[in-house]
Amino acid sequence: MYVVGRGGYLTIFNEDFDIVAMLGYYNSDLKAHGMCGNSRGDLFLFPTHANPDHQVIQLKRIR
Amino acid sequence: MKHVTPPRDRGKETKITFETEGFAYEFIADFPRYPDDDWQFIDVSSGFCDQDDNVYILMRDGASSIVKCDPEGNYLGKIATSRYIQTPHFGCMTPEGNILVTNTFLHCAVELTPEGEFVREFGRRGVASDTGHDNLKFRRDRRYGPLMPTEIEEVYSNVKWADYMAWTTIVRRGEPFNKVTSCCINSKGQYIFGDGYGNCAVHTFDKDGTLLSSWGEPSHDEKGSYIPGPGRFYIVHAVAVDAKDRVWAADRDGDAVTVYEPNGEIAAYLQGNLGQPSDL
Repeated sequence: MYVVGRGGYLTIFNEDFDIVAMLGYYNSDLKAHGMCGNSRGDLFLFPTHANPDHQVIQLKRIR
Repeated sequence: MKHVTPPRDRGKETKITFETEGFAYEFIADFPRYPDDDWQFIDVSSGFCDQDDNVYILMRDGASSIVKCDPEGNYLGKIATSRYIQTPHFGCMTPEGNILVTNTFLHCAVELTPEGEFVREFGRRGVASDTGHDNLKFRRDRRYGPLMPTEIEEVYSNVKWADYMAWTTIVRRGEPFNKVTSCCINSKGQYIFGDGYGNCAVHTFDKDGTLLSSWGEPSHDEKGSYIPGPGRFYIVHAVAVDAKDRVWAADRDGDAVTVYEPNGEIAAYLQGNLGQPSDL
């Protein structure tokens, strides 16, 4: 499960609720109000007022 | 004299990646290619993908609408929804290929066909359930309580502060809905809603629209004291289901996620240093 927040963190948990990855840092560009993903593993972030100049950000999975 | 103007889209020359062990993402700042350049300034609340990886973008400024892009970001069309939706917040696709969107400030969720035609609605449009949520707490405290307008001039200009104060007035779980925020669908086709801006609940409906369960408690008591914990929500901002049909409920302002088993038991509580989880 991917968990994204307003603080700039993206945290990925496995089904045992263990953290498997932590991306971003405090107030990084990974701030989001909303998020979704596609079958390719890409993510889309929707920051609203956290980043008004970039309202739809793609995180393209490369690994 | 040599006159040089860098290209307007010069940002594409820079490659930014976020990576950690096992995961790496290229950061692409502007995904959609809109037909109207001004659309990039419209406030987007969220979005979702369909099974073909098309991306649906929920716009909440002006005439509320849903914009559809192909997997590469090319514009495919606009689904005008202002007739049914005032402020789209979160959405998802249904198993039938319909669009489900939370209509937050009208206290309901709307199911539409892919063309934007009305299918059905969950909740009572325009009617908020009773949770104690007091939208006017900030105004009341200012006029009758401890806040003086001269002391908080800057805060007063930020209407968001009034929202924060109002959220602390939610003292009981109410029926669906009071500013419903989010939605998802489990493997049984049941509809699950995060009812969070004016409530503290996760509701599950059967496919026919029958309410099956409501979980969650407020994280504030009647004196306004903050009592966080598993299943106690400041703001239920997002819900999602995993492969085991467990419901993950993100408490944004509580900086926590409560995970429910399908029977409502709490399986896990993830709390702290999540950066105020807004979505899952």
